[in-house]
Parts: sequence; C-alpha cells; structure tokens
Amino acid sequence: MPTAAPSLSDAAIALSIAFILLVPFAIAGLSLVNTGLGRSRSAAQMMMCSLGVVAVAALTYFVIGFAWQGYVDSQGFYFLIGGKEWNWISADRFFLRSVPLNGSPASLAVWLEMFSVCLAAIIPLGSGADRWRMSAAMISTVLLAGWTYPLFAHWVWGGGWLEQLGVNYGLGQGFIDASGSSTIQCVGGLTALSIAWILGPRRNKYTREGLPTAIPGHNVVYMTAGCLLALIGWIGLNGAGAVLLAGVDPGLVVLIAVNTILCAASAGLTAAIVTKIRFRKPDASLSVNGWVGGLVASSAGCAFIKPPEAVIVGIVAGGIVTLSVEWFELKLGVDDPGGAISAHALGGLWGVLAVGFLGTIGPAGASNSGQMAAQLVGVATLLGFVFPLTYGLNWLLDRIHRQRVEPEGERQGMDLYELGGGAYPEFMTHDEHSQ
Amino acid sequence: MLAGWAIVLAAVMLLATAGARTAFILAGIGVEAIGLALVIRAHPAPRGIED
Repeated sequence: MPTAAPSLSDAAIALSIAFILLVPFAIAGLSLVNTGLGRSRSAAQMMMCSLGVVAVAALTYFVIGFAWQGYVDSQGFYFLIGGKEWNWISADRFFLRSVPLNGSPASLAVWLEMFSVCLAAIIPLGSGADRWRMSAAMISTVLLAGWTYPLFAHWVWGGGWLEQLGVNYGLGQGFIDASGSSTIQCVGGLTALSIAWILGPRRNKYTREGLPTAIPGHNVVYMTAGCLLALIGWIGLNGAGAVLLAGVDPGLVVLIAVNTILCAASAGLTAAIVTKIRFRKPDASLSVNGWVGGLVASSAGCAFIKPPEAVIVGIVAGGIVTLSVEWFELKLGVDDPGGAISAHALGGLWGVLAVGFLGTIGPAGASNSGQMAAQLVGVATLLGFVFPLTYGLNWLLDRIHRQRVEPEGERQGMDLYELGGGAYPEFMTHDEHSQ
Repeated sequence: MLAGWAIVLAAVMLLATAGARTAFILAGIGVEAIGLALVIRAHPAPRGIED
C-alpha cells in the first residue's frame, strides 16, 4: 500500500507507542495457550522454549532480520522485468545500523516488528509440543526470524513486489495485510505445519491401526487466560501495524480495536456453538483455537472492514478453525497439539482473502476485483513459496540436527528430560508405567 | 507448489486483461493445491508409536 513512510503527528506517535507496548501481551497469551494445550509433563519446557524463542528471534532480527526486511522507504535489490521493478529484498545494514532509533515512524516500525517476529516464532511451538527439542526449536527460530519472516515481510511491508502490485500492475492497492495475518500468522502457521510433519505425531497419539487418540490439554485456565491476554496484545498489534505498516489514518484505531474484538468474539462463540452441536458440550480447546483464529483473521483487514463485516470474518474463521483441527488430525494424520496450523495458517489465509471479499479499499463504489487478484497472489506466494521454503529449511535442519526428542524424552516427559524438573513438582502428574 | 507460484507470477507479468490474469492466478493456485495434495500423500498416515 504505502510507497513512503507515513508522516505522523506527535499524538499519532504517542498512540503508536502505546499500542506497541501492548503487543507483548499477545506473545504471553499465545505462550499460555500453547502450554495449556500441551501435557502437564511438558509445561515447563514449553514456557522455557517460549522464552528462549522470543530471545533468539529478537536477537536474530536485530542482527540480520531487519536488514533483509527494511522499511517502506528503504533501499532494496530488485529485478527489472518489462520495465517494472520487482523489489525482492532490502539492502539495509546489519545490526539495525540503517535506522536511527529516535521515535521516527521507521524506528517505531522496527520496534513493532521485533515483537512481531517473536510472535511469529512462538506459533510453531504449539504444533511441536511434547516432542520438539529445545535446541532444535532455537535453531529453527533463527531460520524463521533471520530469513523466512523478513523476506516475506519485505514483500508485504518493506516496499517489496507484493506491496507494489497495485502501482506496477494495477491490482487494486497492491497486496494488503495491515497487521500480519499473512506475514506473522501464516508464516508461523505454515512453519508449524512443517514442524508437525517433520517431527511426526506424539507417542501414543495414533494407534497401530492409525486411529487418533485424545490427548487433552492439561490446563484450561492457562488456555482461556491466554486468550484474554492475546486479545489485549492483538488490539495493540492491529492498531500499531495498521498505522505504521499500512499507512492507515491514526483516527481509525477505534474502528480497528472494535473490529478486533468483534472478530475474536464471533469466532470464539462460533467454535463453542459448533462444538456444542457436535459433542453436546462446548469444547474448551477448540473454542480457544477459534478465538485465536478470529484474532488472526482480524489482522489483515482490521482497518478496511466495517464492524458487521468483522463479525462475518470471525464467524467464518471460527468455523474453519474448528472443523479443520479435526480434519488435520483425522484425515491427514497431522498431530498439532496447539491447533497452530488451523488457527494461524488457515485463519491467516482467510483473513487475507476477506480483505478482497469484504474490504472497502480505494474510491467508494470501485470494484474489488483487482484487490481480490492481489490478495490471491499473496495467498499463492504463501503456499507456493513460503511453505516450501520453511519446510525445506526445517527439513535440512532435521538432517543436520535431529529435531525430535529421543524416545526416552517422550517417555519421561520433556520437563524431566530437558530441564531436569517439572512445572508442578508438588503433584504427581503422570505415571510413566501406565501409558 | 513452486510451479503453481511460477504460473501466478507469469500471469501477473505477462497478461494484461483482468479476466485472463485472474483466471491464470486461480489456475496457479489450483496447481499449488495439487502440489499440496502430493505433499500430503508423501507423509503417510501415522501408525502410532505405542508402548
């Protein structure tokens, strides 16, 4: 969308800072959701992994990530095809040396992006729960924060070719993702799918006949508290992202906040109703996934849709997430304890498409067909480039440094095996011989 | 999947009319879907590791 850094008043800068300060709540919320949906004997390892992943992602992004991503007015490397620039990677300097951290829009974007990359890196932990080695998760995070995320984020937010589809080829306003349904959530969700496939299912998840068994999440309180924290974080993420990365008028932040909560609420309620109809009682895990899926879907179009449309986005997201969790588990044999693939990858893809279906972009009354085409190009890039890239990188990593924990680790539980102690030392949480 | 993406990029670069462009973008996504189906088939249904 924007071709130059937005010019912000002092009030808008203060507002952006306030919103950015909320974003870590989204990271904390997702960490709690992932931990609650995993087993009690892996809870400490999951929280420790979350902390480690945040640390590694932030450092990697500082060292190389932002240099690849850049900001909308950064210098970039590009191909010239048919007289059009295809800007594919930024030419900024490593260690953030190109951006004075002085409160300018570019510096605020760096700050926001540093949180965003941490959020993206947390997502795959949900699908790798109970069997992903901590060391492998850290190295995988380097790949995500140092290469996959910055490259795609440059294309969307850094003046890259997806952002310029409108200027160069007349596809609406170019690919639009105000606050990260694709760049943060889909990238994290597609990495989660790669990790789930590379690791394989948890021990005892599938019988010898291939039938899945239920391994319920160990703490509903963590999950639901995580959802509420994530809501706070998402309001910050969507507000700051729309202003700093999509160049939206700061006056729209109220609409953005309202749309965010409406999306989450309608998605969570849809998931609860769907599971109530199917299983007679609402399922807490799936409702939590629905809620998160609604937040994820809200990000792309939060500034471009009206509140009733936000409700529609949420209802569809809740339905997609709830049904796809079961589809992945039963039909595809993908063991995703945190529902990260459904909530983040599919929720994000829906959010991106919803901008084309429902968004009001450009002059009033103008057709959305060009915008829809731009959104489809973005979806095609996620599926046709980002997924093979993240799968390939993690597959290579698995060849060099095995990602799945040893069988003994799964028998003991990740807490005991990797940390030497459990999250709940006062309680007997499992019996190793009764599995 | 990469082939599908290449079709999409080619459609954006080479086609001028909106209808043809959208049709080829959808075709490219269709090819990606076939690629995804092949990836799914390459990961056989798990037969659990049981005690």
